[in-house]
Amino acid sequence: MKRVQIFFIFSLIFSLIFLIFFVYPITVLLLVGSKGIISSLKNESFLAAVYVTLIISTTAAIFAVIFGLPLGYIIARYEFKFKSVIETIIDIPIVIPHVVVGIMIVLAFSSQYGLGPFLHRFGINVIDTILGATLAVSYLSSTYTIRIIESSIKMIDPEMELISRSLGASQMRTFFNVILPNIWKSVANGALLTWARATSEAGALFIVAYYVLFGKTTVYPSSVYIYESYVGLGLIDAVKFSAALLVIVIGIFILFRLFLNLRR
Amino acid sequence: MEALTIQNLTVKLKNFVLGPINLELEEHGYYVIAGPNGSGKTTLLRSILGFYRPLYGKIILYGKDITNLPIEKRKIGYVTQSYSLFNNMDAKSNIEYGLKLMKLNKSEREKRIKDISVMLNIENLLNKKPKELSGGQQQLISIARALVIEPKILLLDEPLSNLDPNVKKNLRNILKKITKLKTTTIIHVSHFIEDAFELSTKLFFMYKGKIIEAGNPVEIINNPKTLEFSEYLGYSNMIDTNSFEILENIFHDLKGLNYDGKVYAVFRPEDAKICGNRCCDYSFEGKITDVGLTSRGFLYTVKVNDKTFNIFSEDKFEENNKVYLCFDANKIKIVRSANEI
Repeated sequence: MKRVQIFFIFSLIFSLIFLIFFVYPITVLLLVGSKGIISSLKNESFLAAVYVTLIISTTAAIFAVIFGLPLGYIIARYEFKFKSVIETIIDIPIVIPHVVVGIMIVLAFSSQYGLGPFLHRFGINVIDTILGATLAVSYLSSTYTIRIIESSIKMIDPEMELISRSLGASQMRTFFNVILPNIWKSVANGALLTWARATSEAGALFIVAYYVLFGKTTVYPSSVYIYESYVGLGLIDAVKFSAALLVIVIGIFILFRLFLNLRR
Repeated sequence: MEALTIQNLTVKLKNFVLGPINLELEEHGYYVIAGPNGSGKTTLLRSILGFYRPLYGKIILYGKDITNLPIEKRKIGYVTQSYSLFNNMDAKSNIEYGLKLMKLNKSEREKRIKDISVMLNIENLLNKKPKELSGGQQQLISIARALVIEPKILLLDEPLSNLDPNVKKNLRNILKKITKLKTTTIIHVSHFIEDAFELSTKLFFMYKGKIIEAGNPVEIINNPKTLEFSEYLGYSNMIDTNSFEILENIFHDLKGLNYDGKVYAVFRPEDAKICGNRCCDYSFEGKITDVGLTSRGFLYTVKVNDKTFNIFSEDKFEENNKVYLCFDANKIKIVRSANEI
């Protein structure tokens, strides 16, 4: 009994330390930057930066779901040669430094290498465009969605699929009628993680899209915007923009989670 | 009329080969496939369903070769031991799922759902979600879902395995009812030999991917021909040819059995008697080496020369007691290993 209590107390203390470690910097940032949040949210250039960031991250999340669903399904349901190679490929983006990813994307789609010359002929350019920024953040953040989709499909009884097919449904129909309704919350959670990761990306964007052409103007993605304000205007301005971005991102994150929980 | 014919079906999986399997199943029959774990029962069922592509052989359903037909075009019902109800639908929608895929109109769908619900007595369950149902109720819905599309054959993969004894009994009665109505041909994979006794018109016993015994369930259960099937039936005592002198007197005097080649004499723990003193003409002296307690009484391990036997008895003996074993020759079966047939 005593040992159980000691174990419990230690677990509690260590857990609390970790939780405080997560919450403490956020709290300080919000406390220090709270006075500047409203003014930041009225700042047009900052709002444009947030807007562009949300477009990029939302597109990346949608992209991850559309392409991640079939890939997650194949990994969850089939055994085949070189499956471990494919699994490693999926995990690779997590281990590559973000700046290197930026360099890779620029190189892969430049006018001189790889597919670049072909794409440029059709006017498709990734440097300083929303397309380039989306490709960079998708590369870095899609793994989360794919992995969550894979594990949620693994939890669905494979016999259910066989039964659906025995009742006359094709494999495609079975996926949409039986699998997807049972995993959509996990898919949404995976997309949310990809979205959050994409929203917070900076390193790759420094290389691929330090600013993006948006309409007729150039706009910084929000993380670059905050970096610019830190370098150009100082810590206080960077803090207020950071606090404002944090409120927006965490607000969307919490609202989305609440929505998912309400649908339970 | 033949419902299903399987010719030389061979399926190769990673570390397992099923077959060659040859089967001819009559329409509206109830066929039980039994066998130990890993014998290939489920693989055979899934091959019939179309999940596994055969390496060789043919599957013919009502005269039509369905070997390469996709699962959804075969019209074969499938019920598993885990029920596998669609969690995103209530019980009624689960049953209606296949009917919608058949593109039946609403009134026809309603009629079929009503008929099957009355037949299986599940009308009060239709509006419930799977998680609100007990295991037995879920299995009933699963059977209704498979039957409602009027499948040409119905495959049951250990449908009673996860159920309580009472629920199991009730479901067996329902399966009997389905058989009597002659709506479909049933192939039932089961661990329980009672299923074969109570339900089947023919029993198949599988071992290492092959069917090694087949026939009327009562006949083949009472007279196993293979060592593997006898072990499955609980004939846990085995005497090989080298030790046959133990039984010589019994066989020659009481049965006069002739044997040639490698054969085994097998009997169940309840087929011999343990006595403190000699209690039959040909008893064998032995020593008790272990005592176990079961719901059927004491289970003794008795060593006779270098052979060890497991024998049930209601009488109390102690470890190391000298005892005498009496065999009932009529209950001893002479079998061969499937590898030697």
